[in-house]
Amino acid sequence: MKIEPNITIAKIAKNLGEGKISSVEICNHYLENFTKKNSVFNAILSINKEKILKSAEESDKRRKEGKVLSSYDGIPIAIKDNLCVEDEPCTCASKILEGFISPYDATVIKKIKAAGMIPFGRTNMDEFAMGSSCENSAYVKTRNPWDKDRVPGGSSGGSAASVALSIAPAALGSDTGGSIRQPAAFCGVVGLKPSYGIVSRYGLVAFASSLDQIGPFTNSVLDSAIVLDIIKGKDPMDCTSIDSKIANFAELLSQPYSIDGLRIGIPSECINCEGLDNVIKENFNESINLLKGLGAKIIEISFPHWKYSVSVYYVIATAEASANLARFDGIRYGLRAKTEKLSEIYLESRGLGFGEEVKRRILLGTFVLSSGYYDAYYRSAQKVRTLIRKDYDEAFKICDVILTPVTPTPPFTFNSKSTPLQMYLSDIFTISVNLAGNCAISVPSGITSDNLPLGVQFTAGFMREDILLKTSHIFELHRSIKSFIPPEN
Amino acid sequence: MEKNMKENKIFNIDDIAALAKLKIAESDKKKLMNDMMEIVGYIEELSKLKLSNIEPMHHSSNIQNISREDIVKAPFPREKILSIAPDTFDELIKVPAILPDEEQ
Repeated sequence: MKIEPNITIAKIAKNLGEGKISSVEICNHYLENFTKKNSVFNAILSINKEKILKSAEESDKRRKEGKVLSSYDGIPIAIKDNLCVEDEPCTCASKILEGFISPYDATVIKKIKAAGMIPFGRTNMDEFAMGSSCENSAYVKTRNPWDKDRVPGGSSGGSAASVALSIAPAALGSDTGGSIRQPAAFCGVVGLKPSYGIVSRYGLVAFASSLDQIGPFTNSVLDSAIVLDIIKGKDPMDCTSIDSKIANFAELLSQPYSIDGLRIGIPSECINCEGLDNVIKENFNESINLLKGLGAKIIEISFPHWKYSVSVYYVIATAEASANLARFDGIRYGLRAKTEKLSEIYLESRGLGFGEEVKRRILLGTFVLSSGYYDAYYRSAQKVRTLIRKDYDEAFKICDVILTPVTPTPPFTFNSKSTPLQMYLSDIFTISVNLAGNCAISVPSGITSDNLPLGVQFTAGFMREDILLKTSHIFELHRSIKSFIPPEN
Repeated sequence: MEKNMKENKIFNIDDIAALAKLKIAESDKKKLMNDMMEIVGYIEELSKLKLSNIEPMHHSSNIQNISREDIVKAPFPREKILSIAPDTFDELIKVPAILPDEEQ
């Protein structure tokens, strides 16, 4: 069997099941792609080829003996470098974790291993998931698979690029303010941020704990449902985790349904916002027309507090980060500066180990939590967070799904954002979803005349992955461009 | 309360870095300071809103304290933890003296 670029894991599973291909053949195929492409695109930070092939052999043996762990046994999946995989490095693309080896598996890793899937390489990211371009990695710059001079998005840019480049058929990432959906849009793949709590965060290096969520990058909406089915579930190791109401999202997508009469909300504030590129607007309108043609009702909705989401996010996320990153102190693991005094170990190790953006966010978070400013910034941000959540609750009374662009512009070039604030403002469409805890998905929706991929974002209410996945699945089946394969692939 | 950073210039990077236990190189201070001023100038919009009757939202799920049964389980393997420590002594993580010179 030939493994075509951007093959879905659903199709790989089918061929594995029919004995048309083995796990070793699949893994060798992706390892070859890694060797061919990674030196140019830098999607992967580290990979253990021997371990992958050993796992593949074990999977093939299980299959021969009729003891497969799941239909997806033997399929590789790339892992963002902020998820712990036992006995593998986990750098978070930071110097402070150089050489660190995870002593345990994150819950999502336990689950993918229990399904027989094979962790395949550690993907590049913005340091500690802080960034929207992968330019904040302390190690390498990942290049956009569609245009080497452009960023892949961030923070999970390496995961998105791995899938787009066919270095892996799927990948895991994390999304605190758009870190799955934005790189998915920039690389032309599907990226899902599940509702807060559906997926355990145990073993994900914490950035902003009330916002972080793990999710998949895939070549189809169905594949995202498949991976979500594998990684979701309540976990005693994460007290914020919950069981989703639906046991099997992939099965849900196999049943017949239509979006005839589905109410799709378009927030007028988002569409008329400043800085929205014309090419995004045009593609967004095409997407609306496509959904209309499929029988969906388009409803204009109001989102009065949407304009505050960047401010709220960069107060809450940095406040939580300043507390979470206090654990990197040079004492128990990670980089320790060589100094005489204990008090200097903290200062020097953190000063040496953290990059500029991480320092900036720790400082900002410390500032908004400091005495005299707590009420003006942190407390106010938490209150506006309530208002943003209410805006969503009101919207979901009159519509089923909200449609917005994922990003205000197509993928941008390296070093094109002149200040950190300019970079933060590029997250405008994605961050309010995390503040509210809702689920959202980025689905490829078009290709520009410059040959850059574009995406649209569907958002559904808390725990409404059912309607989110169904709607985006229908959209994917009917969009005019059928495949999103970068040039030279 | 003094809220407006730009006008009052009370944003002191050394104080905040000390609170965050973060050493900032002298050469980086000016740029970081300018970036922070721009960001703080932007988030300033939050301090101008009338929010007195709004409850703050801490979390997106309605989490409660959860207690579990106190069941004895195998501890995390000590050697795995020690293997990633920067410096060890026997079965302990070694750090410089916390109270130096006291017993000399």
